[in-house]
Amino acid sequence: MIDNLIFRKANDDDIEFVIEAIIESEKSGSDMVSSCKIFNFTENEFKNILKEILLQDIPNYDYYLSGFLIAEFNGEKIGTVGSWLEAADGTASGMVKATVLFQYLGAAKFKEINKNTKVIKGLTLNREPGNLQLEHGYTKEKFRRQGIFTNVIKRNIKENLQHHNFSKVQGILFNENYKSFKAHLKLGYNVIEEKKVEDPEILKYFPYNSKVLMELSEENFQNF
Amino acid sequence: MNNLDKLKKAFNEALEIPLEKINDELSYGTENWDSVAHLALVASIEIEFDIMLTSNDVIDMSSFKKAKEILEKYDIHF
Repeated sequence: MIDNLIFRKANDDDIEFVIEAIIESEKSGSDMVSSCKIFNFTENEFKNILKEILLQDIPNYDYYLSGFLIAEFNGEKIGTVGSWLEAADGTASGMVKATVLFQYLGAAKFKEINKNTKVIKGLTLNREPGNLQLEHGYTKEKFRRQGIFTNVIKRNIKENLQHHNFSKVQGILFNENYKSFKAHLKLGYNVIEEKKVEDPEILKYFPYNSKVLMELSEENFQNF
Repeated sequence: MNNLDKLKKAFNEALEIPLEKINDELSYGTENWDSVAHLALVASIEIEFDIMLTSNDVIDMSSFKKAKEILEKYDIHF
């Protein structure tokens, strides 16, 4: 167990590490990056788009750079998790994300997605406005199984509690990503809703065919 | 086909919502209307009405009713 971690808010110098976290989070233990499949671009193209988007530091959705908390050990970035308060300004995070992608993908690119969306929509889960969302949790491989993920989640919640009022912490993940799913359960998260798509076409866009909305209640996180 | 039918068709194709369920109360977050579906909807509307929406339009288009209001700016009346 590593206990002398340093935690700090992400900045422009952390963008490459945050991109690594987002990509690995999308892969969820597989080799597939869902965004690349949905929008039909390469992993490198996706990384370049993410870099431009993260530099803008737009709040209230999952590509909000300042929402990421970085865990460092001996000067090395070893873990992170992103955060935002859902619909803090009244606009759902999905709307913010769609608008940002609209700006960066370009009209020609995003018109291609129309034919890809029919099966994808079956895995849609909605977040609850006013509550903290944690996404893209990531620990460098050689530091796993040492409590880093748990620590960075707890610390991110604590940091957010200093600035916001919320009664729940939520996250959406693939429940077949067993390591992540079990880590959430261990923290006290509960499954609130599950979506599953039986059409095998879904596996062209996502590594697994089911997703869950998980929730941590106030009584679970107030003693973190 | 009038403009209202064209807009309903765009919603129907992008969100796969039955035409009879498309009304002013339909809003983001219901009936599988998520971020990817929202982009599909924007694409459908641009194709259906042959217009180019702005980023402000995209983020403001949070319901069927709002979509009608936004299209009024492009001289598309309902």
